Amino acid sequence: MKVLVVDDFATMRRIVKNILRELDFKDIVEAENGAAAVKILESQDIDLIVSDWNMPKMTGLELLKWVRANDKTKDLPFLMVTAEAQKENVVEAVKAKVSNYIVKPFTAAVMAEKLAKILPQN
Amino acid sequence: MAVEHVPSEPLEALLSRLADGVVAGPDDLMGIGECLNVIERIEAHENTPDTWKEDLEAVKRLFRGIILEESSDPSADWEKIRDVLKNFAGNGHPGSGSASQALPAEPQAAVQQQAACPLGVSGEETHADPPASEEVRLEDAELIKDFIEEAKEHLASIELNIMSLEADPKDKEAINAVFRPFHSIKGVAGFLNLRSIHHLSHEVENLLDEARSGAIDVTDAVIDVVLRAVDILKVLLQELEAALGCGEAKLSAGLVENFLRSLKAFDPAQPSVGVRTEKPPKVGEILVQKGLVEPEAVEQAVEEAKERGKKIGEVLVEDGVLSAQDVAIALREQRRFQENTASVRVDTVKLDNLVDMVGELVIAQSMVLQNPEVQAIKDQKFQKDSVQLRRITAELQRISMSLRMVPIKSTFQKLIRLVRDLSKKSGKDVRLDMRGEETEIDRNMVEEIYEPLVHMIRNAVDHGLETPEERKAIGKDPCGTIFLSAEQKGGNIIIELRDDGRGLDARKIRAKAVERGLIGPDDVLEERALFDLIFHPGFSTKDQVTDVSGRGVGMDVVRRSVEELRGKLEVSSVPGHGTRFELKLPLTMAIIDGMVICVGPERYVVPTVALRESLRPSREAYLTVHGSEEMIKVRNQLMPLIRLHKMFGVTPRYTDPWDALILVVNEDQKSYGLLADEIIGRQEVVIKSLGAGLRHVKGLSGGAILGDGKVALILDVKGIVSGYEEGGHHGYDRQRRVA
Repeated sequence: MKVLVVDDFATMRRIVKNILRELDFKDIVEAENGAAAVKILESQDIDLIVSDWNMPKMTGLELLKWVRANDKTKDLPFLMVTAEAQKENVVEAVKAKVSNYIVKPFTAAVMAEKLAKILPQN
Repeated sequence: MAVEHVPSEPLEALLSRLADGVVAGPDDLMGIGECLNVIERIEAHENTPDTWKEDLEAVKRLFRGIILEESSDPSADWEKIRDVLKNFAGNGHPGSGSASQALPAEPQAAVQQQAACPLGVSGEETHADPPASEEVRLEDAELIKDFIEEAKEHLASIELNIMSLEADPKDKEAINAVFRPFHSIKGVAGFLNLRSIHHLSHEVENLLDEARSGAIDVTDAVIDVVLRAVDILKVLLQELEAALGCGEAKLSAGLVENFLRSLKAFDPAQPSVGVRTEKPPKVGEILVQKGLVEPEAVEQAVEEAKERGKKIGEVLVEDGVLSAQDVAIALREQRRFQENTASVRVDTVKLDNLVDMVGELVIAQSMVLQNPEVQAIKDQKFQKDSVQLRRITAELQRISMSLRMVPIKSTFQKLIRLVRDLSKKSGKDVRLDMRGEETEIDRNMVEEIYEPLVHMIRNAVDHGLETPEERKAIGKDPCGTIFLSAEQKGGNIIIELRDDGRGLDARKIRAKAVERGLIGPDDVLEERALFDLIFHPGFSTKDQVTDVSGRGVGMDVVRRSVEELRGKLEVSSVPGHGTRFELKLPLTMAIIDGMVICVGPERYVVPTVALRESLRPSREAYLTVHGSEEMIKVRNQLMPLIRLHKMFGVTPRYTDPWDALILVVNEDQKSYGLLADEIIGRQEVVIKSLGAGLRHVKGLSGGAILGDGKVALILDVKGIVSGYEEGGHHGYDRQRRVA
């Protein structure tokens, strides 16, 4: 299972990665904004996207819209990372078919719970 | 005539999509999203009866509660939603409000059942006596180190982005670019349990979020708050960094608490937070001062701004009085003023004192080091240390001087607008080419040179440049160019103002000068001296008075104001190719480049800018007119001889000019010879104002302490000359004709 972590803040990517590793996700690639994520999505096979909302160049919402509009990626589980103050935006993301969202700061347990809801069961 | 956009889906189809179990359950956010989209389309559908709206709203509200996990009983809400949706889909419409009864009109008191939030971001609990410092256990040092590095970079980017925000407070992308770093820092701080940092960035993020949504304007006060938050964050990060090795950090939570307290009372419309003794100038004032807009227009705009509930800059731009660019420049200037108040706003008197004292320090140091007994010390360590001392004082002097230096840019920028206006008024196409705007100049001077530059540019446009037709006719680019540059050369700032117009007309100048009686019809003048006549009071060769340069203020005023700054103004010109003015200004008003001379036991400093040459005359060069007036002939030019010893009442070593030394100075188009004993050398001295007793003595402008610790007086050539002229001697005009 290959996870794409998108965040403009490198430390944040590292934190998310650490938590994902804790949950036994070993294969993780990173992108620092939506535009970079698109490039990766076009060239690699990704199974899960964990993306921040607010990023320069291409926001998480824009990335989500691109993912859903693209045949290759339209069914990918997409977990949006958001902050407490931006929760209002979540409805926007839901309308754009986000798989689920997670509020910062989160623990590995919360992440596991969210992933259980959106990843295909097997 | 309805405009058909997209063939709209039949309402029935939409309704059946709702019922088809698009939503698997409360956890199926994608299904909920799809459902919300369909509901919105139903709401917008032309066939949807108004009576449905309420139910649809209620469903949306319930969904929202489920999405945001604010619902107190999600599964009950889920049941309700399902019932309503079934109802809709089953018979094409909800049975006469039956669903409405099942639904609450308002969302139930939303119980915040947030996921465990260790920091309590909503933060109401922090009121009880916050600790002055926050102890942080640093568990993952490497992660924290990365965080500090990255946070610093982001903070730096905030300061950059604030600039573009200032230029355009409505720039969404700029607001976002400032918002984002706070957001990111907050996010990571939350994970790392850095409470103070988290709390601070959270609050600033909220403020900026309001700005993003347009709820508040990005006023200067908002920018102030953001910059202060950046400063505090930097402090916290530093504390964190310092503690990295020891596993535990103490962060100044008190700093954050204070800040947050002031933030609570914060009103973005206020000009500033905190105490500020001096108010920044209003944007309107700046615009008027820059000559961009008439005071009446500002008053009118202020009224309108009140009425329309807008900012004055917006009103001016909307009404087409100004470009947004002009307003932005004014805003930036205002901002700069505020930055000064926030950080380095210091009374200039204090600054001058500092520069003075540093100057004296340098002198005291050289006195000590030049003391023969000290110089006799052979100790190597002492030698090394004194070199070090010299290096430090020199650097200190350089820094203290630089405190008063500002870029000339602001002055240059004001001229852009001037040229644009002049071009419009005169009907001449003019291009302004500027260079060296970053050149720094004493802040006392930067204001003073504006007026002279305005006059010179007016003259250049009005007198210098030809009309586009004239230019075309002689094969020149129809668009004239005015070239303005500044550079630092040695101890001076050179400002050059050049145009590519017709140049000075020597013939016309001569005719005018003769007509005005400035020169005799047969006087032979070098071209340079002839051109110099344009600086004579009241001189103007332009026949008719124009709207642009007007009447009255001549180049004489310009030269005088330059000289008051101890500068020099020279003109040169090539007929048909343009005129060039060179303005030579001292780097600073605090230091003077002077020639130290000696008269009897006293020493004086003559500003080198006033000095033309020095020489020892021959016996034959000395003559008296009418038996009393002493004259000296230098290169066939006869000039009055002024005896400095007489003026200051000292006994000189030499009384005969051929034994002594003549210093030739220029003042007001005339030359004078000052009689002194000898020249000691050229030296830069720090100007000190004279004590009360000497302040009103004519001919002295200040005092200076020389390298040996003795005081020398600085001569004011203008004062000496006017003292001489008032003393019953005749002017030079008559004398020159004798020559």
